[in-house]
Amino acid sequence: MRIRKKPVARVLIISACILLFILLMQPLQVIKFRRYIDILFPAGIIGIKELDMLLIIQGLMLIIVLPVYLFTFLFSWWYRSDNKKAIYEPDLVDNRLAEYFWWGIPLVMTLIVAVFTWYKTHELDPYKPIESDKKAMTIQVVALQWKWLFIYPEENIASLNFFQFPKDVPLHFEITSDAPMNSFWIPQLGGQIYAMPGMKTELYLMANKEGDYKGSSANISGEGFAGMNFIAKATTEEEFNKWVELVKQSPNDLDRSSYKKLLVPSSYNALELYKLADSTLFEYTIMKYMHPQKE
Amino acid sequence: MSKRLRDCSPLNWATGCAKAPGLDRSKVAPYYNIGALSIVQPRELSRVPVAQFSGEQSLMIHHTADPNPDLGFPDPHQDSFSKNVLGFWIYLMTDCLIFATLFVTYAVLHGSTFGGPSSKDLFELPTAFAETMILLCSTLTSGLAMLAAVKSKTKQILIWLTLTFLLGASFIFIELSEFSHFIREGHGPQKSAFLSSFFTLVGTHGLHVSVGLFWMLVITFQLLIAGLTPATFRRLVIFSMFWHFLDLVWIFIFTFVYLLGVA
Amino acid sequence: MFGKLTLEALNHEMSQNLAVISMVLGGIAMIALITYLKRWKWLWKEWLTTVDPKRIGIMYIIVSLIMFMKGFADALMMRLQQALSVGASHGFINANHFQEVVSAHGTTMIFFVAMGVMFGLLNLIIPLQIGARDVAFPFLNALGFWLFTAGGMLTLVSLVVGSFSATGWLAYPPLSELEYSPNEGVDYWIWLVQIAGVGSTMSGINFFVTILKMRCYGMSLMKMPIFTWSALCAMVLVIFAFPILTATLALLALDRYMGMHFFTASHGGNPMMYINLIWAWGHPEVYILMLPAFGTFSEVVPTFSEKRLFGYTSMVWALIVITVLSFVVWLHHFFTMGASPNVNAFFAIMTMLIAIPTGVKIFNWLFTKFRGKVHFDTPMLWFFAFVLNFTIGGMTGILLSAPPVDFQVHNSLFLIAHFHGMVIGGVLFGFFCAFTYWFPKFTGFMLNERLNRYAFWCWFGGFLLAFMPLYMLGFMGATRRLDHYDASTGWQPLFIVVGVGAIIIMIGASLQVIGLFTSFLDRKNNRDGTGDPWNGRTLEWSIPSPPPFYNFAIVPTVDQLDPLWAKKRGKEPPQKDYEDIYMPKNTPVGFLIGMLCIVFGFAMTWHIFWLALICIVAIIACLIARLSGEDEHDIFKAAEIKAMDEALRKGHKRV
Repeated sequence: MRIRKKPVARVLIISACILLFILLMQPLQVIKFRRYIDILFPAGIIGIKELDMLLIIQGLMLIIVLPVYLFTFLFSWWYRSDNKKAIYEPDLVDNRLAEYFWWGIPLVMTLIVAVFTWYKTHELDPYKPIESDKKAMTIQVVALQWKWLFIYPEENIASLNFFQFPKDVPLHFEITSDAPMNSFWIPQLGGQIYAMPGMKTELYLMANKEGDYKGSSANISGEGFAGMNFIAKATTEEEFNKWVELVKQSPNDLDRSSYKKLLVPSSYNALELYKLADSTLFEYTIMKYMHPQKE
Repeated sequence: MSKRLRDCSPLNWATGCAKAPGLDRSKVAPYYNIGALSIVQPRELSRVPVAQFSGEQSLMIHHTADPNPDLGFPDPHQDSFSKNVLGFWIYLMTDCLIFATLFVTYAVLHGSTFGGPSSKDLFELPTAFAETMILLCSTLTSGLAMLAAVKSKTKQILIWLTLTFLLGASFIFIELSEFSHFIREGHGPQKSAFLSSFFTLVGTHGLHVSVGLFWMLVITFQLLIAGLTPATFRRLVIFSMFWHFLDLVWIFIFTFVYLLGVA
Repeated sequence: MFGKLTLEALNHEMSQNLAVISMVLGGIAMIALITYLKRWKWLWKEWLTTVDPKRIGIMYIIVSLIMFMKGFADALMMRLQQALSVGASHGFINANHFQEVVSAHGTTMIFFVAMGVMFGLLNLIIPLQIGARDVAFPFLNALGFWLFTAGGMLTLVSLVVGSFSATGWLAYPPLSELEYSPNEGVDYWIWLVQIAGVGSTMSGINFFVTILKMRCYGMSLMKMPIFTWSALCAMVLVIFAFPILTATLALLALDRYMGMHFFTASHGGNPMMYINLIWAWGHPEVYILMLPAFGTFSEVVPTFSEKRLFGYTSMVWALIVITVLSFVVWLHHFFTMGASPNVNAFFAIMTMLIAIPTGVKIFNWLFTKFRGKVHFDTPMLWFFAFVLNFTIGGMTGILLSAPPVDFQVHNSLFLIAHFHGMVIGGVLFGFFCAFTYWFPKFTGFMLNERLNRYAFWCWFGGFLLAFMPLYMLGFMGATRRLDHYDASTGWQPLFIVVGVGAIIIMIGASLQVIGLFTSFLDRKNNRDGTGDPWNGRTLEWSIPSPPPFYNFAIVPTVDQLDPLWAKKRGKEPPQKDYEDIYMPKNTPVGFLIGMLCIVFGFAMTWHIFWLALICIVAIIACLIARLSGEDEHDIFKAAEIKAMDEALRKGHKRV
């Protein structure tokens, strides 16, 4: 038998220190980088609700996880081989009560979280309209290689890598792609949804505060996808209307031919504003994948 | 490392030359000493007194000289027949999953015709019916080949196997003509997702049948050279499992692709 | 004549050229060393043509180690790029190259490191634990290894000739279709994963039949060591999951080679179908990797607590529940793809259910320590690190399984931190635990404890430093696979911290490799003559170290769990007598087919179809030649075995 004595105390203390250091780093990071942590400091109702769910589930998980850490350290220390005070029971291999306990408690906890998840998943369905007394504003989003095109069907304007909207108004996004699969994501306002060619996904978001919110594509779609950043700007209603008037005076027209120019791959594109000259552009983008097109 | 008893280099596996001292050659049936093939007898038959190899004995799971084997536990004496048969069942299960994936893909994509023809426009039931009947008959003939093998009647095996081969070959011929007909009409697999999934599902089955045909040629060759030995018997059993499995898959294809496609 | 292959394929950026040169020099050095030591014949006879699972297991681990170096180099490059590439600077590699590195990292680590060490362990341990002399299909086993190696070699070839896939480790369409990835990268990926996958399926069938058919006398299923149970469940997963991968990759290949439209954006193709299929494979795959790691802990914790495993039956049922449930959770990898809330919620709840048996296992291990005598040798250290790191990953897994939360963190670095917690904290630490535990068994000498303990601290602390900040980065909106970002995101400081963590891990891994060499050089002083240095409980510790080629001179008879433990307490049932042993012969066919597969994969990638056809014909010819003829064995008489056995045991102090 070659079991050598090992300094257990040293292992337990050093690992506990490392763990506590990492644990301490978390709130310190939150404090230092507060400005940048979009998901923990959301500015939109969907983001707030999603964060609440995250915190609740995290709290419930800690109920199970903390005992695991506790027992790990406790048993490793107390039942170390050179502890004469500990009871040694080599044939203790089964205990019905213990099994019921640790199959049962996690099962009950999981059921609780499951019911909670069921309700929350339905409540936070991306396709579910946000309850508000204001009418939702539709924005059509087309993911291109490697930029985002935003079309306002009601205002008849469009913009590239930027869009502006009034706060406290629900936004109804209709999203598609004329490129590989992308993911439309504005972390500070809420969750993402995939943008897929030949398909239309929908997302409802709403901003509670004014501000410039960063958006990106959360799915790799080719060489330049890191340059697919856009700004979503929330302003007051008047400022938004003024902006719409400004865009309507843009010299750029967005029709089939200028759209075709946009299909040429390019990345890190600068902001562009357009008048929408072809209102069927969004449908065309989807339908061309479904049926052979005439031209 | 320990010393190994070797009579030949590993490269001579085809000629096989490990000698088994102490084995009484007079009790060994002559067909073991065939030219290029091994003359080492598998352990399980070394103490079974048999002048002529019997297929029936290979069907026993516990191949041991013990007259009262303990059937409560698996045979630890590495009985290669039952191991290989179980292993091949598992392989068939993986093959089944490949077909399941192709079926699921077909189910999802069969409506995606991109404006082109659908299954209703394309499929002709008489062709599919003929293919089904041919394959069912070939399953029958391969079953009869197996029965002949159990009775150790090599000539009968070869006859039934040849019939199975001819039936299988005509199945492939009909399928290939159906495919080339579609392609000539402009409905090749590159035209739409529906056509891609149809050609792939039915084509994969046809590919398996072709592999089966080739396998039959190899088995025929082995039977002609070595006759019926424990190993060739085992391979026949495994082949017939494969062939029946392919017929089963075809039933599903006939039902879900052709019959439901035309409805 | 050469398909799409031109001399342009050898033209790379400077960083890649450096890697190519070092790899080629490494290969030349290896060849020179073998020639200098005059070991070519030995290599051929003892290793390349072997069907002995002990040798094959060692080769699996060696190949995995080589592939780990490549995968880890990729990881270091990624960390360096992401620490530097801010604002005006675009780092030291361009975007396309970065995406190739990202894809190569994932592919290498999952298919050629994790799967390799897993199958290596199975080869080494399973026959010994069930009291068998060999596996059910020795040739199939060897063939599975050589196909695995062929895939690995193709990955290395892709570094030299041409470029690799730049679509991520799972090559989602339509990005991986011809329209958006016209060059050879995705083709390389398809063939090397396909070949390795077929090899895995073969090994899966082999071990499944081995465990069912070749257990020793008296070892019913509920008397098997629990590592064997975990292997059985993992093999069930392999058998059911890998064919899905085979079929899906074949469909993608048909899209790319024959212009079909399974997953293209237009002509009716459905990229979502690919994602569903690939994750229907992908999720069982991660459990294939995890279950043997769990099995390892179930062996190590009882041994180092001098106590039987707590709740054996419960642990077996937990394994079975995990196996079954792992097939109904795949959608949680793409909650954001727009499924209805009913579908999303169903898969979310299934995913949460799967956490229950995992938690049960952890509690059972902890309570194995309860009222035991715990020794903190290196294997136990790795178990300790597993509990601490894996639990964090598991907790964030539950967070990710809630769709609304997932909507925010999907595809962000939060996800990366989660699954690295599972793969490194679970699979890799499990492998290190198994490696340090069973090393003396297969080599006959002990590992250098001190270097391994330093390596342990580097891995434990380095992992936490390299991956905990990624959770925060995910919260800051950082997506995965980004080669560049703006300074206004505020991500750079954390990327630098994470880079430091990666370097600490590198130090840990280097210490392990150095420790391996010093242990080898010092082996005479570290020799373990007992065959049982840890006071083991299962059959593998009852034979000498390293095991003789026949494993057991007498096939054991057992009547309870932990048969060696029973024997040490005097409760062993009567054993059988010596008998003639039939061992399978070596064969070069597995190696040949593996090499042919490398050429086949290369030829198909570059559209050199005549060469691919020749390879297929050659492979079929090899198979027919191998599968003709009667069963062949080398025979060793009982008296000879008895003499060998007694000579071996004379050198041992006990058992």
